[in-house]
Amino acid sequence: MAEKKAEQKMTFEKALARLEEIVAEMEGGQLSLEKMMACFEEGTELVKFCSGQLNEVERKIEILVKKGEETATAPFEAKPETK
Amino acid sequence: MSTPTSQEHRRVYQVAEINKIARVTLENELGEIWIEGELSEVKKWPSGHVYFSLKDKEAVLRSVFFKGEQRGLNFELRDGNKVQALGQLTIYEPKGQYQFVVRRMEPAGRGSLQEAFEELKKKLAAAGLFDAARKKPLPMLPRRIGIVTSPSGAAIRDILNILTRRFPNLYVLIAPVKVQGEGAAAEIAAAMDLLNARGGLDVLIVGRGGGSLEDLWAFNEEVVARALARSGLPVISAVGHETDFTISDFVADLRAPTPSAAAELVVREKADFEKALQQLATRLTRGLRQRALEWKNRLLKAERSEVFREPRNLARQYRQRIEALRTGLGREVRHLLQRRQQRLDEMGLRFRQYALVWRDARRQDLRRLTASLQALSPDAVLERGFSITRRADGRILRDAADVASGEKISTRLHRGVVESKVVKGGEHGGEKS
Repeated sequence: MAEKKAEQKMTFEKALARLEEIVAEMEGGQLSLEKMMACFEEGTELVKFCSGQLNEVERKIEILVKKGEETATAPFEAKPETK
Repeated sequence: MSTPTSQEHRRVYQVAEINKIARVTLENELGEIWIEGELSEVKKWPSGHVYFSLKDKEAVLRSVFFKGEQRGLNFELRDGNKVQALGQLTIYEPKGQYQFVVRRMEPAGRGSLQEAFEELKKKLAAAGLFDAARKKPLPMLPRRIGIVTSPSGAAIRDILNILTRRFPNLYVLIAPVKVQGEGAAAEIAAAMDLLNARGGLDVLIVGRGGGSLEDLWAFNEEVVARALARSGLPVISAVGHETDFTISDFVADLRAPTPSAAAELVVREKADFEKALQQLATRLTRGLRQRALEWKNRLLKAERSEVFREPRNLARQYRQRIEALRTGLGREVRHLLQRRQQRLDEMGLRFRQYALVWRDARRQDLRRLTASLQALSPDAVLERGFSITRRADGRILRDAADVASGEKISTRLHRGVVESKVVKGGEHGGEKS
């Protein structure tokens, strides 16, 4: 439960910062085997999370258009250079 | 009639002569002056000189602005613009027409706009809208970006170019607005509110390209400032050029000098992120591998030493964890750690064996260490009948030569302390205490 909550709040910057921390800790060479394994597992998850975040969104450029009272979105094409 | 009529008393001027006198008189009398009026009949000649009239409700004044004087001009001369012009009233002698020769020109609205700007700035500063504490940090990785600007300006094109070059898979939502003229400020404010209300965005860019002070004015209006202040999303303001500062710039969470710069400030290169992540992933596995090698050596050593017990449960635990780890890796490796997979698998198997040995050796080490610690503790020694004797200055007595007859000493036993006086001291060859 607690883990799920933490995951929801996880952001890219938090994940990256934690990953850097873990790697530095592992490279510090002071960890027990158990801790080392836990770090590796967590680090692997974080790499996966960050990589997912980088690719999660698809490229799309839209513009808001008014349809009566409602606002909708339509694909946007920048007008070619005129000057 | 008092007017002299006789020919010999008349002072008769030639036309050219009187035009010249009039010109010199006019010029000397007035010198350089400022005149305020509205531009009309503005005509730019191919030579670059601009001819126009200055007018107000009652009168018109022919004027000229020569090309050579126009260097400092930073706005467009258009009919209807109110201006203040510095120059000299003079007469074009060949035609006897008098005109105003302009040397410098400023928009007449400037003074009052500047005042309005300062006034609003002071008011909003007092209301705390510029406080650093209320600036929201920009997300490191914004992937959904809202832009409030004109859909037809150069600004949107510049922003989109840079955004998509840096990070190809972004979602961009443009809220099209008028960025100058009547109603622009209200549109900009409403668009910001709308984008906030729609949700799903990470950050907003609000701005426009360069223009005159009047053109940028919407971004100096309180409605825009207030909308910026209540935006839940972080907002970057990007108005005009580097030298243009607007109220929006002070209220926004970050000011970008230009729209292009805003795009650069918001989104970092995706390739940089990927590289950094790749490096971290490599270090992660390398760290583990190196430690594994170290352990291997230490554990081999430990294996050779003394008694092991049967840590069956422990073995099962480790096996499970390694299996879990290998499953996790199997998935991950396909994306990031392809080359490391085999090595890690082998390592996983080895870990299973090492783990048993290591845990046991560690336990044994600890037991031995505890025993040694106990043996070394002064309490244990005192218990066996030894004692510690100190001189009055607290130094522990190790040599009979260090103590003289009559000196006071204290001796700590397993239980309690004995204070004594030395009967005979200072000689070698005696027993040590």
